[in-house]
Amino acid sequence: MDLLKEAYELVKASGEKGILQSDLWKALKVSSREGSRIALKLERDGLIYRKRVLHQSRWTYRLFAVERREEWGPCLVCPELKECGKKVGVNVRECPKLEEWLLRISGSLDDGSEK
Amino acid sequence: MEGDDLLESSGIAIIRGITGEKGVIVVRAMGKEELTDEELAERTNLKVNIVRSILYKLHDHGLATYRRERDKKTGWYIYYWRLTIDRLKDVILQRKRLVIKNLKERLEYELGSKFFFCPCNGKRYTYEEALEHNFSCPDCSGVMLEIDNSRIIEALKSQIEKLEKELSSEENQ
Repeated sequence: MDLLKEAYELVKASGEKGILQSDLWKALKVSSREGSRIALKLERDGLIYRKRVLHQSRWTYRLFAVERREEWGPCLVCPELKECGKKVGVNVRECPKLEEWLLRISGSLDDGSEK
Repeated sequence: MEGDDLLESSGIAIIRGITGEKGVIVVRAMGKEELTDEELAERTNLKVNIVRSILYKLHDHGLATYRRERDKKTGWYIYYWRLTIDRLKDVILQRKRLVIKNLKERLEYELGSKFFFCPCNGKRYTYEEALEHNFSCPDCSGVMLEIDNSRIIEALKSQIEKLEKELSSEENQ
């Protein structure tokens, strides 16, 4: 399993309590520098969020998995949601992200029944 | 859900969607304080014009507010910004209503026509568009194939039903 995936699984398994960044890099057996890089990457990908906490008189981060909002599809976080249907080329008929999501949730991607 | 919790879960995903990754950095740097765009630029190491554009986007979505004061020395206005995270719950609900409206519109579109495509580019054509091209692809002249969109229709129907239930329970909270 690659490190990012392993890290995400560990954060996810920590549930509501979250996991200290230092505990994560110890579990992954990587350096603190590498551990912070992984946490930052996961946060940038929107998979986790970091909360600054004071632990043993030192500032560190506690990591939590972001609740996946897959069921709401790509529209909920789309920067053009408010303009959708009002701007040329921005509409629910032509949106590639919506199309991809619909193919995925309908299971049409697996057996190619749609396209 | 309190503003702080919202900011750390689905709220942050929406802020990221509206303003991009740099917007998340700005929002986290602001916290509950009232700051000028220049103070924020200094705090985040971002250019002040980028910080301003993020603040305008947040303002457009009702997530930030400002007050302005005239600088006695220069005569220019200084803008003091702060987040209105207490509005985030309303913003999320409003966006969810729009998402459901979009999905219903897409469902109508899926139900309203037969669709065709060409395997050469995967482009979709409505029945009328395909008829115009005599059911042959304008790019490769190959025969267009009919799309079976019944699964997409079913998925959309069940998704809309599920999301409407979820939204109405959130609205009643």
